[in-house]
Amino acid sequence: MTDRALYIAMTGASASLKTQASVSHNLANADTVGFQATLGGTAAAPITGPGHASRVAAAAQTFGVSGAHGGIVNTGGTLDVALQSDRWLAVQDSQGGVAYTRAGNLQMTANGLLTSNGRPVIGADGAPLTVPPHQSLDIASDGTISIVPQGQPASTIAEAGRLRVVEARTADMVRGDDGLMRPANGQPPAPAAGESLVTGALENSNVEATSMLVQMIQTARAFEMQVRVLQSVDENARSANSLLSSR
Amino acid sequence: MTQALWIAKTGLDAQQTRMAVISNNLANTNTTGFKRDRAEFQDLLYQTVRQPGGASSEQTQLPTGLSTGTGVRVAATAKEFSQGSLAVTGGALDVGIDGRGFFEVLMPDGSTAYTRDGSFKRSPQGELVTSSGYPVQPGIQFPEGTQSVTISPDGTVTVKLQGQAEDVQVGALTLADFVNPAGLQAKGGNLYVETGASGPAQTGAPGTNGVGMLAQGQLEGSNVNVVEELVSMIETQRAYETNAKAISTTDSMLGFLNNNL
Repeated sequence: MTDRALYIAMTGASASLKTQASVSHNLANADTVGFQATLGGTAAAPITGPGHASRVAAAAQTFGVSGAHGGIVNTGGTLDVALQSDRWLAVQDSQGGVAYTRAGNLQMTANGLLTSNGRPVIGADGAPLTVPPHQSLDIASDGTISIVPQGQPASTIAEAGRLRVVEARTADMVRGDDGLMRPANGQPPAPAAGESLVTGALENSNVEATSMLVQMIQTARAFEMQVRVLQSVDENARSANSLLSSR
Repeated sequence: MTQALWIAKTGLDAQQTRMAVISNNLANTNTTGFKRDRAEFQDLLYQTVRQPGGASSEQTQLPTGLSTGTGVRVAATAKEFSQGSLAVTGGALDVGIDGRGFFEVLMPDGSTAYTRDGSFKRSPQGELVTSSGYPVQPGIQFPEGTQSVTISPDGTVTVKLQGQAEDVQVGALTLADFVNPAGLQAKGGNLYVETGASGPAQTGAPGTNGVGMLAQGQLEGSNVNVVEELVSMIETQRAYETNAKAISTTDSMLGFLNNNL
């Protein structure tokens, strides 16, 4: 009797702490470019076995990431791109595989390699994208990069490659331990057609600080209730013990 | 158990760093040729506690997993090399760069530094030097009896000497450009040094290969946009507050646990 209530309330309290961790993580990333909030929560985990099926423990779960669109901030940067809904930028992960991100604050290395958060950005041909020395650079809304090559008059426009932008729903993607997204079914998503990004702008984190704060308060209160249950169960057990020992 | 506390702490750290970057930008609003920094945030690694798609029994799979993020960090402070506005000063040795490029400066230790601060002076020895007294490269020597100096947009430096009708060319200023100026290391004193990330300097005459032209009698102001910095400051403060709130909430949860059990 005691153990059921105690352990079940314990799973709830422990799940609340885990939820609070994911809320903290979302709040910490409220200013990270292209960040997508973790949808954390609890799920019922019935305890199966012989006897009356009365025990349903709580298990902390991650229900993927929020597909909400973050606010667009105009920065004017030539290498800043904000992706439209359901569009992803292909980058190379540390194992050399392809992964996807919405962080469009691109950088250029000394060799002209385009990177996003230090990871090489992949071009339409599947290889990391390198831009030759240039005087000016422009990224079109379909990801085509056009440059004025160094030493050429401004009227000379050359195509320096194209960003690989794919189309996939957030719900069909899974976030890996490195924070990059990969398709849940393992199939490479289809390349996005037409207009898929805005240059000179960045997509902010899609974390809504207000709703996160509300969730934080709610989780804290739920935790207090779970602790109350632990406390009551403890008191029950104590009085049962004292009744028995007074005999 | 205190995971949430530590995650929120990373948020406070990152916002604190961003505030320092904003303060530095604001402090340099009037620094000649200053380029603003931008703090770039990155989410930290995720810990997968339970893999989505893992087997929950022989026939069934877990539909969702549990992976907790571990916070945020400032991954980089990126310099933004957008053009600052050129202000007319009228000084003959004030040179602004309109476009890409840096002046080359010879440091006392023999190394080379780069700057966009063109508030040059004439040294007692007649050399063209920066306001810190470091010679500008390639060296320009003003002969005795120099009355006026003209610096043309393509870098040619001519002087008018006392008692001579014709102007004399004493040298030419060049500009150095980098593939990735954002990779330069700022040294303070309006100077930058080359790094592996910036790529080697490519020196050329102003107006060639995409580098800018020179503007005599003008100085480039800082590219800090005060309004933008103030808005970022408010944003940073609010983000700091929410992270602090996360810490106090988690703390009170643990406090409640300790006091009631």
